Amino acid sequence: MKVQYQPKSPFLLSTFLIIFIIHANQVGIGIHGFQRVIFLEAKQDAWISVLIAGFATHIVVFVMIKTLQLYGSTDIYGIQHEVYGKWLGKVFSSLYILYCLWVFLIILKNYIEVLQTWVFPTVPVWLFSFSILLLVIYGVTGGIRMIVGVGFFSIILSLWMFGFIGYPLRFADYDHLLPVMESNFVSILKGAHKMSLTTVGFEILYVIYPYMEKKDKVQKYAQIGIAATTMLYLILMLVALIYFSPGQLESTIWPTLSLFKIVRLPFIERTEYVAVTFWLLIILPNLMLYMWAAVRGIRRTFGLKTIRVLLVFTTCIFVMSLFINTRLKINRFNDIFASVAFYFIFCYPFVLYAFALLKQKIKAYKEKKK
Amino acid sequence: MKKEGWFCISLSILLLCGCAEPKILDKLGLNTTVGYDLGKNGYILGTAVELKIDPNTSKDVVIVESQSLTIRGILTNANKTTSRRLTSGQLRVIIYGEDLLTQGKTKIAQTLTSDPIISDLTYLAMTDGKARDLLNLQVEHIPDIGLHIFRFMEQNTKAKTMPSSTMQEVLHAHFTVGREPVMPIISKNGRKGVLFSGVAIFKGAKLVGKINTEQSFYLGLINDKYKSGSKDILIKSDSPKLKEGNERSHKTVAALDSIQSRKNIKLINKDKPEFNMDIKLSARLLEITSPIDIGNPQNMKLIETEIEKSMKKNIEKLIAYCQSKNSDVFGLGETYRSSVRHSNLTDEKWYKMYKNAKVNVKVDFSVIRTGLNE
Repeated sequence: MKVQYQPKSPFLLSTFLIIFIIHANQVGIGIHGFQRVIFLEAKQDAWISVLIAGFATHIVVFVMIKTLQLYGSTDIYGIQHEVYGKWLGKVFSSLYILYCLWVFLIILKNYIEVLQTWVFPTVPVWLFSFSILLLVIYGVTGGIRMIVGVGFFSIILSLWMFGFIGYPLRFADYDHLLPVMESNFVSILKGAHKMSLTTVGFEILYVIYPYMEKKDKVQKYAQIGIAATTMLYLILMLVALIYFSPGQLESTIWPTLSLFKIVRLPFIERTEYVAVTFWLLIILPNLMLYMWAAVRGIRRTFGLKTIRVLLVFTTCIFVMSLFINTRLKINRFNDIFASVAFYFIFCYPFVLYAFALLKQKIKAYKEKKK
Repeated sequence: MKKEGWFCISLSILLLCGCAEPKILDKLGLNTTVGYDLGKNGYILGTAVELKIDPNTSKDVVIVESQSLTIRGILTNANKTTSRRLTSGQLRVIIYGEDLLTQGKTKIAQTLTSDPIISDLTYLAMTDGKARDLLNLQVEHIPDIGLHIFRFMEQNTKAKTMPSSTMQEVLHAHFTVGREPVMPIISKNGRKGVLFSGVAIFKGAKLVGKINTEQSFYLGLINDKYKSGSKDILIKSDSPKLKEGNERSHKTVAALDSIQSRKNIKLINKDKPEFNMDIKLSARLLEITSPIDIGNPQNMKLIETEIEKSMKKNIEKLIAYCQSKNSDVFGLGETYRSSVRHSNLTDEKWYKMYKNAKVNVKVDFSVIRTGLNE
């Protein structure tokens, strides 16, 4: 396997699209209910946790791109192959592929759970996962350019939802935010830690980086994408804090969706039903990107054919989605994932960067000796 | 061939839409209003106003009653007596019987919010006596009592005659430490219709007192922002200019209109809770039952100070009443919690402090105009 990977020029993507790719991949299922999870830790200072988590994300992305830039045009599979060698590299790449599939399952399962709770209590799981997986197969076989197109339009077409933020503000009680910094710093940090399930998604950079047209501009646009997501989370956190009273927020599973319950339009009385079903468009790029990243990993590391791998993966996911069927199981599944994701996404890039630097230093030293 | 095969498969997926439970309007009975009363042996007695969409019958509103130990069970049991499946997606008003609320801890609203089909903008109200009697009211000019109560509450809430009590607002207050919810009281107006007769105040989830509609205006001043509203203010003044009323009554009353108000509550003493409550309001003076010359700026000043005095007295009375019932409907506790660091305020702690809290009321009133005449 080659470390370097240079896609042919028709497959390259305009660099500014990385804003949309990162934003679309970060915003997904976590946004439904992150407010409650953070609030349980940091109380009314939860918004500070969101800011800290956003700041940490900026740093991690910075390190990720630095790592990628060491090798010019490559992805995480190439880097791991180079850094850890042939066999260990394959193990780590397989772990990364498993991680992508795990996120995929988490997104799919949580979304189906939301659909079943809010709109279709009697429709079986298999129907939802079957139809969503078909869409994903369609997208992934269409290739990266099509997936990015879906991501772009998922953002543009869901901008209208943001306009509804004014409705809950009519019932706002700004006293809920005071006193600022009452929680101690440890609980605020714990809150920021709990954000990891919500902020993940930017790690797609590791895989999509070779497809970017101008590699030196990636840093700038990626940071813009992260900043947009952090702003969105911050606004939603603040709105939830002032709209719900503490007791309500502690017992509301999906505060963002509950915010929609207050929107009553002359032609649609219950906007949350539209929002919940429309959310498919928001999670679709997430699912496609993760599935694409996993399939891409298999192709790069083991050189297997894309379409067969894709079918095997979707079948596995389909079967697994049937077994995680109660709220308790899903919650447990999410919790395990959140703790693993924290180390894998927020800590691992630093380790990889350190190893990559070390490897280069050793290489340079050896060449010098020669 | 391969492409066509895929096409057929994709088309057949459209058939899967049938998997969702269909809801056909003709086969549904829409619950527009539900009343809850205390039944025997801990049962809850539910009374629902069912709206039928049926062109064949002249009367499309039916009252359905059932009993159950759970809130959900009421709907399930009510289905045993109806020909159409009852659904709550159009639920607009929930009415509590007084006996249920005096018991406290009904958890009805809480239970209902976990059902996504019920809107958070559903109005909550209390009735004197039984909710069942109110919903069974048969008056000729009210063909649909459910819709009537909803429109009646909507109109009065918008005009701020009634405190707004949507499910979100009541639960919001209930779950805030240092704030108690209020609900309007809707009672039967003899055999003529319904009437807004007062406001119920709570301690926790328990009904502890009632205030009349007159005081409800002042509650609105403290809790809410007025953007429009009207009110008659009784002036008791020693000044000879305002002394005599007219032939009809010997009271001096000023009628205010387009009231705009702002309030500001501040904690000034942490150890012995003491609050400064500044209320600023302006209004149009349309009528005064005293032959005073309102064109004279001095007289206007006099009227303003007298109205301020009268309002201040009423607000103090209201606060004293709520303190005697230990119900903090003004959210003073929330102000306390938000201004004192690490107060770790709990409801129990606040109930003890609230009783002895001191509130300094200051009202600042100004007349902006007097209509067409001076």
